Amino acid sequence: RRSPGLSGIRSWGGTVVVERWWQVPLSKEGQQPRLHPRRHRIYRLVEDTKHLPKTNLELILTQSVEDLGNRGDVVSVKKSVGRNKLLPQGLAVYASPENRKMFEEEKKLRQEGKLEALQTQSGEKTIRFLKSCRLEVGMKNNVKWELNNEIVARHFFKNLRVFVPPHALKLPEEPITRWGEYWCDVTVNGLETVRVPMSVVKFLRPKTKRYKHWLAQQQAQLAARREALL
Amino acid sequence: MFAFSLAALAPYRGWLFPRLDQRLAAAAAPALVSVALPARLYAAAAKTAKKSSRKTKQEETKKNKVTRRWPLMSKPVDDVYLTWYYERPSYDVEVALGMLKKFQELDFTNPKQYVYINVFLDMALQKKKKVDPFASIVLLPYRFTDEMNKVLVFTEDEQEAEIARENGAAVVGGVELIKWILEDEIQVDFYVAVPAIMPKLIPLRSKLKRKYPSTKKNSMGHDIPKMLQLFREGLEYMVEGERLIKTRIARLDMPTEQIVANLKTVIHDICTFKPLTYGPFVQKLVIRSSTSEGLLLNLDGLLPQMEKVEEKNAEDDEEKHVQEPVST
Repeated sequence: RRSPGLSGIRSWGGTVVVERWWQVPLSKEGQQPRLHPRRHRIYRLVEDTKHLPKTNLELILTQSVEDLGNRGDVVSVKKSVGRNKLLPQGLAVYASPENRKMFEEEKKLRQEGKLEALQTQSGEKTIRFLKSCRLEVGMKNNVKWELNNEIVARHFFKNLRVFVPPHALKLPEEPITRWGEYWCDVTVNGLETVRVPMSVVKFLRPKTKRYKHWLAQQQAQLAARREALL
Repeated sequence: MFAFSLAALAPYRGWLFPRLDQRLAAAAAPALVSVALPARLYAAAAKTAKKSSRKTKQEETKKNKVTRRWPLMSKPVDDVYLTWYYERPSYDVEVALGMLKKFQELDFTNPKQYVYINVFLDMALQKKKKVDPFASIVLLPYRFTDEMNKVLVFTEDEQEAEIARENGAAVVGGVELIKWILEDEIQVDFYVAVPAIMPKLIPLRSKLKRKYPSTKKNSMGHDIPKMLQLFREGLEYMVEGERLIKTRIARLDMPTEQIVANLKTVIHDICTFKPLTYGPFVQKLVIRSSTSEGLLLNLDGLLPQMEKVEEKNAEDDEEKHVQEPVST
């Protein structure tokens, strides 16, 4: 084994597998083999592990990690990530059979309901998105309407591209029949609730951004002319 | 065999030969570190950086399904999800039509809106050969408009002219119509003719181009009432932009079975234009109504080819079963 301080060149990662050219003769039991000072230091390269394709490590997470999973998930990560980040910081453990059994039992308990269930990573992302968005519901003025869960769910899908089943929504108790500012509660996975500000406005036919920009320009010009007259 | 395990710690990329390092440390000027390094090392590092950045860009543009390190999920796990992280869902025809009708209710739009389909076709035949863009007419089993197309019938026979007029042809005539057509005095959607008149209609070929009567397109034949019915009530569709067909099929008012029957008729007619041995003709099928977004459809029970292939497979299996006991 060579320690890095001896030779000048420091290489990273990888084991170089080497074989002796000359056979070492057998020595007596209990005694070390006798090595020739020159002959038995001649080696032949068998393989360098840095040329092999990089395999992944299987680890079981102990905490929820972004983009990887929740506690108890068996994840396949790159060796660098696992050894430098997850294992030293205690975010994951090796996926040995004993560990796997332990986490399987925990998962079973969680499914049965004895331990509280965790929010999934996609659920976390959804919650983060919903906290930063607001919904605009366009309703017409020639029909008598009242907002219910299905209409709001449809508008969530059309405007914000978020799929919300009607049973996960909760609207304010007073029925909404007019334009105005309201709110609605969205429950993700039955665990967390986000309050999304909702404004009910007049229904406009879909217009391109270009057209809207042009309209805004026209309005600005009108306003400028009015001010010039006054 | 001996294994040399080299240091895994301090994988510092910019690390250099020790003497250079000492020289730089002796110089003790942070600006010199970046300037005095030999160009060779940076050249190697820059090359690998460029390659990896190109690869990641391509991968990112290709993988528009899900974020990078996610285990590929095409179906969402939670009940509330962000639709751009998952593949576009495809629905069965009845389910999709039910959704369209629900959308019409929730959006307070007109119940009498039309249902449109976009069909994406795979025009490739064998080596470097393509199917030509075609146009044809389908007679739908269930009508949804009251508008009739105007049809012109070419006959010399009085009886046939009578039959044509009874069945609702817009214009009926013989050789005298040719002059009017050439002068653009008649405006008609379709032209139907009897085989007897065909030699006299040759001057109209360049004028009528696609609409010229021919047996292939069912616009020439002896059965005038049937042809008239097809051309008056039928739906015309053509291939736009090399592989897309956009047509109206039905109205949202109609019951689901009628709309499905209309859709199947159109698809079967489209599939007649490519020989079945070269693979499925229809790649993607999107259904929408006038005011809603498009829904991707499952092509399972709609294409005609699958039934024939299944029949062939069933026959082959039966033959094999018969042969095996005979041989053993």
